[in-house]
Amino acid sequence: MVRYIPRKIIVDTKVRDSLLTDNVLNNLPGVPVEYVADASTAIDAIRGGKDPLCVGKKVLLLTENRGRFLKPCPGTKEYICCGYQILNFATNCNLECSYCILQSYLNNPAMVVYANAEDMFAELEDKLSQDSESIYRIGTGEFTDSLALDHLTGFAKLIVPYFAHKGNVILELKTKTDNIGNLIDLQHNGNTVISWSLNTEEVAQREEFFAPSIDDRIDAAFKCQKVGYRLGFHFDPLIYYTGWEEGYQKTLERLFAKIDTRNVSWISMGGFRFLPELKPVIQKRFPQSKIIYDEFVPGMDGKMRYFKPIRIEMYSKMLEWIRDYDPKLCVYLCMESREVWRKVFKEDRVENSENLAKILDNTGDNK
Amino acid sequence: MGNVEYKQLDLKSIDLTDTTFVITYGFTLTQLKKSIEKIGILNPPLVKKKSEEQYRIVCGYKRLLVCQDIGIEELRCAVMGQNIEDKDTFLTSLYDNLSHRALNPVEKSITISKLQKYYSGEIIVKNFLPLLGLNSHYSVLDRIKPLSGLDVKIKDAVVDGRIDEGVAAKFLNFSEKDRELIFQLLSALRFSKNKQNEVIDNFYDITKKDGCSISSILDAKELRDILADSSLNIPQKGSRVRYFLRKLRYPKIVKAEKDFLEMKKNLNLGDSIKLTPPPSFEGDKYCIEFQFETLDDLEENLKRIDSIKQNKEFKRIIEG
Repeated sequence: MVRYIPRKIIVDTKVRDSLLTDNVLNNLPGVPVEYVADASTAIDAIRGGKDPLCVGKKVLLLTENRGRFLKPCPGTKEYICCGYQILNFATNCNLECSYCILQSYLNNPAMVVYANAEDMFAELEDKLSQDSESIYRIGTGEFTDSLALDHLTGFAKLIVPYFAHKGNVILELKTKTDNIGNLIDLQHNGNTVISWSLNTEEVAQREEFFAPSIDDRIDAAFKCQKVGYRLGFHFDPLIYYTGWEEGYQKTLERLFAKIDTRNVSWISMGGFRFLPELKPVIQKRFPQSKIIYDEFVPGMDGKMRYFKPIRIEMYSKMLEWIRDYDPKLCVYLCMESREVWRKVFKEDRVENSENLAKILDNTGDNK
Repeated sequence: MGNVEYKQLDLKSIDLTDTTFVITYGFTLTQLKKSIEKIGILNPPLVKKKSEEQYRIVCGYKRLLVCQDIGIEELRCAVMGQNIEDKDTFLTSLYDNLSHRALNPVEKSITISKLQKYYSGEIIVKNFLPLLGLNSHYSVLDRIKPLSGLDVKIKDAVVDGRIDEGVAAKFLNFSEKDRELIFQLLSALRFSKNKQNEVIDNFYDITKKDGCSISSILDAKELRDILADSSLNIPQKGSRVRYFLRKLRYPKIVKAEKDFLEMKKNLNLGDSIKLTPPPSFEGDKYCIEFQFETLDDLEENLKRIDSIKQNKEFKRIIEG
């Protein structure tokens, strides 16, 4: 996999002296750097310019997060959510997946790293000490790929050891990359789950342009397994196409040829869904992609989703195939209704978001 | 505008086919012709020399066409100085037009195409789109710019409001032959803007989804039968054509809708009880609604509703 290198770095002077800024600048000696007191002018120029999504990804902005770092996952009440907390240390992604929701979700087209990590740790200390009884599942891979920039930022070297000493936290680093170099020697104490977004090889090749192959992702997971990390896998988005059954079965076969199911904390599934605004973006940026031409309906959260019987068919078959490898594996659905849960799992064990969160808290904590 | 000299010019010396500085599109000359015939030309056209013998139009394109039409051979014109750059000459034409009327979408597109000879995309987006009454954004530039390259029929339909400009831009996703076929259908069925959008989107999506051509879709017997059915009026044909396309675009959804209607019929709920599924079958809440006048009516309706619990197909839909 080719590692991300920006064409330009913009450093907000407020984070000029931060550790993450130092790391990035030391790792990118030849890349032009611009220091700005206010990054908004540079961002506005990209946003108003030609092809902002493409141009934006070539610019790495190091700035401060002026809001909260830790926020609940923006799930909607209409669907059952896993109750995840998002640690917002960066936004945007360079992997150029055709279906990426960030293309129509983010306001800032640049690759952004919030370099005021000291503020982030202060906030985490404060939050986690307030309620030491609750279990927090915290992830960094909602608005970015957790590891895509790790060769530049070294963020994992800060965050994994930090959470290794927290008793009530499960950190999930979610990625499509094999950028795991920084993880291997870290003390994680079983508190970090490294998880991969997986798909069929066909989808990976056709729709996930700069992401490593499925085999490379599984190899990376294998290396993390060797050094004792717990693992997660996300079949999200599941893509419905002629040959999907064979494709996903092959991926599962390759996965469980290398990964011991006992090391897997969870596997999630989610059908491809998108904001209606994303369709013209995909048509323009990825004209060869056909994934938006299947049968979608407006979901109760306003996103377009596969027609429900298609989703139920995909989840049910996937579940059956996964359970063939290990019936005890924790499998959950991302943002689905109680009805879909019931029809897929043939039982009513997950009635609401609280139920699901509880199940995952217990599974993830099962060191 | 710089120095201008007034001259009596032979109409033949003005090249009426040279539209370098002209942005006017989609007009009729009837009223102007009546006016010029009655009171002549009050405001002389503005031209600029293009060669020893020939002039090029800057402002007054329609006036000059009328002159040609009614056989005026000579007229007084304002001639721009040769020292004025083409860029400024074009701006003169643009501002003159904007001073007395709003441009139609095709004229805006022509303007943008011509401005591109002189200005970067960034300047056009920042300075000229607002001048044309458009939002200052590249996506607007991308949407409007191609309209001038469309076939004359489609451009004319945009100008006179038969085709929405957003729909017109979507025509460019198709080949010239396919554009013609879709245009014929949209024109014949006189769809509203929203329906035009739905139809053209479905056409495009079907070709992408199934890898088929527009002509093969239009050649389907079912569609040809709808269009040829003289017992149907235009809105009825439009509605059936839309359903036909929807069946191709969303076969599973349309089948589910059909199956639901069939199942509902078999429930024998009668006319007074309405059973409505969740929108697009996405939610899990079904709605039963009825009206009654007497307690007997109420009793009867409740009995009917109670009986549907035993219907196997209904149970399958609700419980899975």
